[in-house]
Amino acid sequence: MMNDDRIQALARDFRHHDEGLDVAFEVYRELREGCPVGFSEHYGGFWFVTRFDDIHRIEQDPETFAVSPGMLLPPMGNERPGVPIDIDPPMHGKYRRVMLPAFSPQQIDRLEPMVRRSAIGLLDTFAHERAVDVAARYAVPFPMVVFCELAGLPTDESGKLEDWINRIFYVRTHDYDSTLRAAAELTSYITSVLESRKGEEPRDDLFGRLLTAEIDGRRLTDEELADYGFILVVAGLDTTAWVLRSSLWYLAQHPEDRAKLHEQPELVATAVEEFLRCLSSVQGMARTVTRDVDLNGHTLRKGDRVLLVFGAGNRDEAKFPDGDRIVIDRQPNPHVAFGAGIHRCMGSNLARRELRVALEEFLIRYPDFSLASGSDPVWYGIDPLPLMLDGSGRA
Amino acid sequence: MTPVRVEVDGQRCQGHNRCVIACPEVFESDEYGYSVVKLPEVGPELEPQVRLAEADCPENAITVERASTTG
Repeated sequence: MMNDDRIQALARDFRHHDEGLDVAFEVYRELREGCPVGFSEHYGGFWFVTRFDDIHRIEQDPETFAVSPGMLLPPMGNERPGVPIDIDPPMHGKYRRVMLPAFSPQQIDRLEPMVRRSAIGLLDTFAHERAVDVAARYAVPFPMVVFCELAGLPTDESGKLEDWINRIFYVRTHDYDSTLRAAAELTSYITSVLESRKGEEPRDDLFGRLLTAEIDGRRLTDEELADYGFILVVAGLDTTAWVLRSSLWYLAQHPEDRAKLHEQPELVATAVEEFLRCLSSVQGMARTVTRDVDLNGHTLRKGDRVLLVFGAGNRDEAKFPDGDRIVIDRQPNPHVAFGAGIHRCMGSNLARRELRVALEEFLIRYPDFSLASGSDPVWYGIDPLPLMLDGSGRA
Repeated sequence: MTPVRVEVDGQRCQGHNRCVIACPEVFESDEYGYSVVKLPEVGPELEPQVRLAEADCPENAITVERASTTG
């Protein structure tokens, strides 16, 4: 009974942001066991689902579990639903189809040299330094440089983008007004970029593709363009930065895995899947229940919000033996870090490639690195990660 | 050993491309990133990789079955 009360308290206080992340993995374990479906009082109240199979079942049933009005919990401050992430069928598939070719594996193969150049270029900026904050100098700018190239945006405006994204994702839990302002500023920035390009020759980049896209024989409206552009900008920057940072955070503390990857660089690909499974940026995404439905003995009502806790499902021992342990050559590894079902992250091929290339290049230069002495960085987020690149830091 | 027959359920595939990474000899992706089987009958030398592709697929979209002796 005591234990039951404790689990219920954990459930009521469950959150997948901020301090919730300090204890996430222990809490996931307890909830999967004792409260696989529960109700949290945070963020306006929401159901959460922590077991892999339940998450998977919900992802395969977009009629009962819709994304409207938004997949993020709390929302990211945009005035209208993001395209295509917050859109349900039938428009959802039509929106995706116009951009999917830009993120296909063949297209990512063509981009790889640029992605690699971007990584090397950033590594060169601290080639002569020993103590480096690799979050600020590598993990955060790397996806930004790649994205600006891909989208056709000037990199000298990346500071503004970083600030907006920071306020959209990391400030929304405690200062939503700031998030609202950031989302409005970003939307008007995207609108002005798209507007300025309308008179130009179509360019072969993400925004060029958006501007020439057709759905049902028509071009996208200005609002659709802005709402799609918004998602393209916010979806792939801090998310990728986070996983690159958390991968380096882990490797800095695991010399045996570092050595293994240095000797067998082909294992970087499986290591990336493992970092995505265990240390990913998107710990959960939300749905809205469209009709009363039973889930593990609970009745979810029409209109209720339910969070699919990917981070918990990805450590579910029923699917992943020894699920809390990072095994860099784990196979198979059918994790859902990018979600599953019709809303699978559209940029997953790009994100995977960026992570693999960034880690390969980092490990070529730095076979031995460690956390800076006296530092105790958290696993999550994009805050500083000071490393000693010659391994002379914390043992 | 008889070959195995590999199928991708196009209704289930969501374009994760884990199969293309696991076994590029058998799977490829179309222009939208959805998986296509280019080699439906697979001999023992590639069977471990197609089994891995089957197990890696987050959508359970891949089936690998022992081909019948006539097929």
